Amino acid sequence: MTSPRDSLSATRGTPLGIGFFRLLLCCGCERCALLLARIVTWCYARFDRRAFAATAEYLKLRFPDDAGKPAALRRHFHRLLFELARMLIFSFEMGTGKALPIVEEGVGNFPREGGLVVVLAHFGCWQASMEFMNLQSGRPINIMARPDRNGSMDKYLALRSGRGFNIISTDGFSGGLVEASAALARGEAVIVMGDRAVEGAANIKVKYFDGTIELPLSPWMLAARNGVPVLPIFTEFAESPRRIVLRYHPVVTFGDAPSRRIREEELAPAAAGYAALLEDAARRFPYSVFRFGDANASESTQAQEEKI
Amino acid sequence: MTNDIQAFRRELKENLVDWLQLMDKTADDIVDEEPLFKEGLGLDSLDAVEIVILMQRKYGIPQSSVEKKREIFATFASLADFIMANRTK
Repeated sequence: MTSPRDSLSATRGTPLGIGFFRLLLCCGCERCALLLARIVTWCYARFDRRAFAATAEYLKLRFPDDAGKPAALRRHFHRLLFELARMLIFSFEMGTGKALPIVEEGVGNFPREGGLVVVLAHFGCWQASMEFMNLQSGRPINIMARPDRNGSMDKYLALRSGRGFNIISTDGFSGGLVEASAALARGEAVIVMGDRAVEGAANIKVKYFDGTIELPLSPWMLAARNGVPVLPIFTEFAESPRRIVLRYHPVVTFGDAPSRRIREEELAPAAAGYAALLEDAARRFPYSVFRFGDANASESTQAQEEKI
Repeated sequence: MTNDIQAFRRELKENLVDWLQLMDKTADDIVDEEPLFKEGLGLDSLDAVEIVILMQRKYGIPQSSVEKKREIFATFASLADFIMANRTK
């Protein structure tokens, strides 16, 4: 669920520390920033029990052989945190206008007109896909988000708000779904984070590795209801040569919308298909998955901490 | 309340029960002044989208005309009044 993740984001990283990273990057010392990131993330991996607990469910599913080995899980956790730091450094550099190696794959899958639901995952440098949405979309772009809950997200979205992105607050009436549906009916694009269940909203359980996770129903329901396609986008950190790959997957389409409520069972195959994409991405890039917070889906953080 | 309003509210209640597939409810269970969501009729955010689509399909009210008007969805009566005043079919 989202609330623990929100509080994790809000309480990790100090303005002084972030400022120092920025200073290093502004001076062109990317290697120094990466070295420092390695040390800082090691400290988090070693001492931040709560963040560890919030990642444990994913790590146990992804690395089942290490599920009962706390030391091994912490090593995986450190690698994941370092990857997150690398992504944040990349995002910062992207914001400064530095030319970075980004390639797009599957551009032909991007529908050129009409309403469109774009599902993103907290995977790799997902912010990069928003940068490219402006180039590919050719239509107004709406982002469903909770800007009030997270200071850094607030700043990130505010920056984009002036660049043609409209923010639909999920804290508003109907979780922003009525507004999002109207935007789709006008032929606009709506970006939804599709990999994390939303507390208090309609979610669906899907198979993920040898377990299950909950995903939001809203992207699939919005698309099915408005007769528009869903485009899944993943942003991968690839090596040799080092680059960011923006991968546009084939769109998911629904038949004619029925003259009655759409049932959860009708959306289940699409959600299951997306879970398979998430799983495939996690198999290829295990440390690029930033699904913090699922540890709390069925148990409290404290209970998870006691287990580990 | 005029007969026209009463008849329309009855029709809308039946449409809501049918469209939203409210299995354990009938039109008689929907009380005019009760909230539609949470403690009232118990609808959720996905139902809100369904109602908006119903308004568009059956009554010709475009989604854009309701997207910022949460007060319409406060009670069944407020929803019915809005649809009656703005319907094009």
